[in-house]
Amino acid sequence: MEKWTHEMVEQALQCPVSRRKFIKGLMAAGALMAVPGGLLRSTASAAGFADEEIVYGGPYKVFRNACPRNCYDTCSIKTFVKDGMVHFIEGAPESTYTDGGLCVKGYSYWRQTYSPDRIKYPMRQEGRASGNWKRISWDEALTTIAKKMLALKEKDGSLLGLGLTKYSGNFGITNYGVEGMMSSLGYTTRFVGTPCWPAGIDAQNYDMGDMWCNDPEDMVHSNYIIVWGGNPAWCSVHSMKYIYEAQERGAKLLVIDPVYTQTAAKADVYWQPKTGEDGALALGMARHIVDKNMVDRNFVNAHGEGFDAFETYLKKEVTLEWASEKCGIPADEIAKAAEEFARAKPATIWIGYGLQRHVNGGVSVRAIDALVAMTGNVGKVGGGARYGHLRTWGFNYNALVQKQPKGSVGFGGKSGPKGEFDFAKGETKFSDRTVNINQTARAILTTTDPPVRMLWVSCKNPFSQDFDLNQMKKAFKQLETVVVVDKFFTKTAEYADIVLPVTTNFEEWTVNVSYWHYWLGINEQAIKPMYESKSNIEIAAALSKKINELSPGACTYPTQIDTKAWMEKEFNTGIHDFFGIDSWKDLRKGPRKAKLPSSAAWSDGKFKTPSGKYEFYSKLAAEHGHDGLPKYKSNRKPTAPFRLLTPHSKFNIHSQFQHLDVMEDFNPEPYVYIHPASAAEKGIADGDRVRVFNKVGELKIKARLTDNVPRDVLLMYEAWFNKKDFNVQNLVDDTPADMGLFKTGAPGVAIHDQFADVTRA
Amino acid sequence: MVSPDKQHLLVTALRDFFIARDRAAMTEACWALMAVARTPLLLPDDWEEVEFAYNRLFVGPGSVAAPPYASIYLESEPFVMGETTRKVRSLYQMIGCVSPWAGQAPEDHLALELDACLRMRAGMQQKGCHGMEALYSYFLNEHLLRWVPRFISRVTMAWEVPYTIHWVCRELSRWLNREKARVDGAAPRAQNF
Repeated sequence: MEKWTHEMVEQALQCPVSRRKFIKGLMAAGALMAVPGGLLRSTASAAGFADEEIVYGGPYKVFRNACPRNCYDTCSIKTFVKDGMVHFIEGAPESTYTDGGLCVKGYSYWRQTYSPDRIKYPMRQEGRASGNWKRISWDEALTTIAKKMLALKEKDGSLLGLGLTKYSGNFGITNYGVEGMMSSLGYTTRFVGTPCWPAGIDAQNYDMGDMWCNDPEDMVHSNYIIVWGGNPAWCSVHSMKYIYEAQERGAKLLVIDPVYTQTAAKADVYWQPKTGEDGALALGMARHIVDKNMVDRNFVNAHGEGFDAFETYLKKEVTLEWASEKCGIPADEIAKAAEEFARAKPATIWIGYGLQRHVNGGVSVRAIDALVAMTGNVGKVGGGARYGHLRTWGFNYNALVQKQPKGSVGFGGKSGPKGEFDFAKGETKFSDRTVNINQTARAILTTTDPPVRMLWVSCKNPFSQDFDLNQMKKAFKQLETVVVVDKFFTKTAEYADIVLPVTTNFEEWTVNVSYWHYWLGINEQAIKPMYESKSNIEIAAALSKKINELSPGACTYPTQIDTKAWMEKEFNTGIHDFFGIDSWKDLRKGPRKAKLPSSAAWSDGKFKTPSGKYEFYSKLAAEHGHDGLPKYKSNRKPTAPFRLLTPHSKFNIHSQFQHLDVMEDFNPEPYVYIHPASAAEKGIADGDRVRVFNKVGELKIKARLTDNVPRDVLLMYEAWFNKKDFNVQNLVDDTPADMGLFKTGAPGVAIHDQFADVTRA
Repeated sequence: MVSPDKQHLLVTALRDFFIARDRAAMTEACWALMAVARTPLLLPDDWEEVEFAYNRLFVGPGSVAAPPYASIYLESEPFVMGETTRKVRSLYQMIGCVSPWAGQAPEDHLALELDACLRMRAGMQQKGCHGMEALYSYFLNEHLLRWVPRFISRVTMAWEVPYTIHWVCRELSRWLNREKARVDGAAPRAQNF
């Protein structure tokens, strides 16, 4: 055998041919020894070398994936795999929306899968929040969990003591199997609603009968675009190209936001109104349009209901000057923009989720909707009051819809929708007990008969995303058992008794659509699940198997799941026809866009309201305790000198992404942003460590001075920094927004109606 | 000199320690290591505390203080299943073996690499097998010794690490240094077995 050097070894490691030559030499020398009791398995035998287990080299195998996060863009991803490993990913070029590119978060995706910080195994904590963890087998974990569930049923006579909190951590459709798992166990307690966008959903339902937006790609046809309370340059980067194109064609972009955002920097006109006074601003514009006889009478006569009442209200109670005083934008500017907007046709307003996170958020959205409608821009290509839609979500929800075991006892009261994605229909004798997801801590602390004893957390991180952290800690102390299913050791997982490792999107089969654009993408399993992770539906099946072993008939969920087959079960003729596909397999060639009769929502003028018209006056809203008209409603009264805003950063989606090392390189630490004038009054210099505090709690953090924020505002971006004790929920309470109960089961949260003070630490 | 048998037992014990799933496996590995180690182990009062610390250092569920994967120390950025993992996988292929967790766990886990050392050392018993010697020398010098000392120093710097774990790491460090000296043809630094 020839003499090998380190260089030759190095070369062989890179070259399959050299490796084969090398191994043949070793075989000839009899040096390929199996070691008894060893971990590594032999691929060589006396019969010869067998290396078929892993294919080395060769071309990349390309898989189709989708970003399942709570994001407008829901990107279609191409994943390049070799040797069973993801080598790199890119945006799918077939989607004109994703257009071949991902955002800073998207490009970090494979780092989630391959982060050393992943939860790798089922583990049990000895003493909640003690940090003392033991690795356990899936069998042991599921046995412990199943026994606890059976004990609850025995003790309470129902499973209402078992709670589920789940939201938007993974919007892959098969992940609704978590809710399905709960149903298959019995009637349980569900934390329902959404912290995200509920007030606006109700508003659009009162006005139009549904939340439905134009295709974002048709913004290129807009002549006037208002982005109101949203920051797509950070939170929907793929939409910006349509705005830019519209601007290149001559459209005007007006951005309305209390914070001078990256989107505002792209605007032709930027308004910085007083926070939470959007309703007054919209009503002021509406009044001016009435005064200037610029109302689209054809639209309001043919498709409007109650416009006369709205007009009377405007004339009686709204003036430009009043609006100006309320919102802080000069009256002449309001007037000019109102006229330009009314004249532009088509003109559109992108209603961001930020502006409805107020005690008057829902009614503010209604006022903005009215502004778009009265100018004849609803139902028009390039127009529309754009908020979101669920039109492409018509799946079978096979994983979600499961039957309770025979004889299950549940809640006897009236049941509302369990969130905006609750597509289940039908009434039964019993139902799940629903409590408000936006008051999770309060619900745990106050629910009785039976209390919530055990909590299953999946696709959610309540300690980072739900409100009033101190209350949350108290609430978790009260729970007897907490199970957290996650990829990473979140703040919530710190308070778990058992953590279960879940798959990333490269490791599971599912299908994804957006609540903004109209593309459908398949999510193929590109690699084996890392470590001992399982998908949510595999976990459900494994739990079903275990609990049925212990108590036959305790769970109706299948005990074996073929995840690919379950993905297939989500498709139906409606989906096939809507997207022009014969089978999900067509999506392997790339994502597909819905076959829309028009890119405009409501293009046929047939609204889903009780009257079938656009309801400037909504009887339903009045029945629900709101005003029938989108009348001005005061904002929450301040409880401290500064308003506290906690919007989204570009480096994370809620508590996902920022914790990755690569993101911490870009954005290493959180700050509170303060206007220089306010900071000067407080004796705070840039970089000073400060204490931000209010009645909820306090936070010590570095200050950064910027006039991007108003003088009365303290701003910090909500995020979970893995190795930092930063959490905006130390300061945010659970005061409800005005709307959300109607369509999502619980009102929203006035996330941006929070107040705090600041001092040098 | 440590006898070949003792060397084998020592590396086996180290391997088993770093792949231990629970306290029982960890304890068993420590006892095996004690039988061949250079320094005695002061038995811990509470093996459970060792298990908790072990998981904080190497397993999780949180961010671990000293991830036992070569990639974390050798890649420009800390993630697994990249170039380093692929390279180690190729090296295993060159010695005719494959990880039992191929594609599901990184091949460059310390325990798997120590297992590869055992295989290579066994292969080197065959006379005239220069290839295996070269490969082992490469693996030791160009791979293990480039990351394991950094891994150990992370353990050293971590908070509240029980003596037992420091002791295992010291034995690992000593063995690596001795092995380097032997492979490089120099006299081993420690000959007290």
